[in-house]
Amino acid sequence: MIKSFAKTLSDLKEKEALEMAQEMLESGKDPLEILNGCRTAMDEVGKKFEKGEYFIPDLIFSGEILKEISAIVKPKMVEETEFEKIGKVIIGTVEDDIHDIGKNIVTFMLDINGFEVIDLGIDVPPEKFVDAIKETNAKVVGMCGLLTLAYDSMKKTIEAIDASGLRDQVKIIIGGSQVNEEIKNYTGADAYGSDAMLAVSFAKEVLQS
Amino acid sequence: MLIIGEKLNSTIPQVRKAIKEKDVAFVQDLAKRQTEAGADLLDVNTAMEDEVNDMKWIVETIQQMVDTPLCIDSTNPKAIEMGLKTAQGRVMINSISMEKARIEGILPIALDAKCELVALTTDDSGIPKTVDERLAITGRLVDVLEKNDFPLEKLYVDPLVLPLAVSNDNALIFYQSLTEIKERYGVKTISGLSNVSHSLPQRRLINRYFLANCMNLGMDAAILDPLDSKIMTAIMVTKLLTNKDRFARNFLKSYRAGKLED
Repeated sequence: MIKSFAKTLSDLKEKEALEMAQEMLESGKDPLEILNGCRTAMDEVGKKFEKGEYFIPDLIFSGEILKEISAIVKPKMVEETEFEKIGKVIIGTVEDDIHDIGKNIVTFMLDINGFEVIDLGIDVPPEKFVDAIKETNAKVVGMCGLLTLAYDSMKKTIEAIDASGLRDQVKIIIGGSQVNEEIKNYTGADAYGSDAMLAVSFAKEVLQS
Repeated sequence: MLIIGEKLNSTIPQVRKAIKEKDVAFVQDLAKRQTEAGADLLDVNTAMEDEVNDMKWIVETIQQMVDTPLCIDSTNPKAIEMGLKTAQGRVMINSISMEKARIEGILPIALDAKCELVALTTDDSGIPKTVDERLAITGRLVDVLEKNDFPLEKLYVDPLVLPLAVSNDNALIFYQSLTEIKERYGVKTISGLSNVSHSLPQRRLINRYFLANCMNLGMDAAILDPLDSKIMTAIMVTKLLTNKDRFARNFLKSYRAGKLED
């Protein structure tokens, strides 16, 4: 049942997936198992996006269905069995840049894939990234920027993290439609990604290894 | 509706290469073909290399071949200045906005030149998400220009369409902004179109229908690829459908010349 439920969800069959979730709950299925099925489905959605079968509206729609399912599943959960988040990710558009469309999509995808996302917003100064790492102990930091100016801000931010002695405790990925290997090296980041799913797989790699 | 040909843009790898290598034939051919395809103006952008010097070179090179007016496209005041200084005849600036750097750098040039001018509805807090924010920025732009005796009939406001992929209502927000800006401020409107289809497949298809919708709402100019015969056909047909083609002269002429692409 869980397997076919996950398939139905990753095929984005909204009504059927909701009905199946409801049915499973009524027959006494552990809510956690249902949510695990959702996670499997979201993995599959991500893979389809990477293969070019799915597009951004598909991703957003999958998130909507997930929210609807969570809304019926969560009330059935005992408090202690709160669904465990995979880990924390800090994200923000770096100083002197204000583009947030890509950042918001990445935030959304991380969220529905089970991460706790600390979104610092746009035009975020280096200190704010440093403070957030200290406060949350997050192991993954995502920096977004579209402007050429942003690459200098990324470099500056990573230098500030280094100067605070926090560089070894975090893995840093930069994103934005123009980023490449050269820019990654220039900024001192650990990875770069030009679409949301790359950020998700990077965070998974870091936090689940 | 004014058609502004978008091909002479250094973000297109081939064009960038041609600019870098000072390939006169390539640039002139692209200028000529866009003009023949029906472009009223040619957008020129040289941002990717030695922007200011390249602007001088490309303007001179184009104008040796065609006398189509140019739309000088840059965020760099020096490149805009160079473009205006070099170009002969009618010229357009692309673009100003309410961003501090553009107000300080490009607005004075536009006020001095009093030429046609594209203005984007954005400021230092980014591209607005709502109709109201777009209207508010337009209001501030119109204010600044009016106070400085800029002829508002030369202003083209671009209410910046955001990708549909990110939010279903982004095209609708653009249509509403377009309509309201025309009604409230009586200024012209323009769009670069292609952002609407970002991150979706079959982008040209979406761009075409989007353009037809915008034309129906009275959009005054569009920056597009005039070498795309399908979008040019869409323009022709939309004009026919909105009573902008008397006795279907242009439509039938194109039909007889075999230029309509189904």
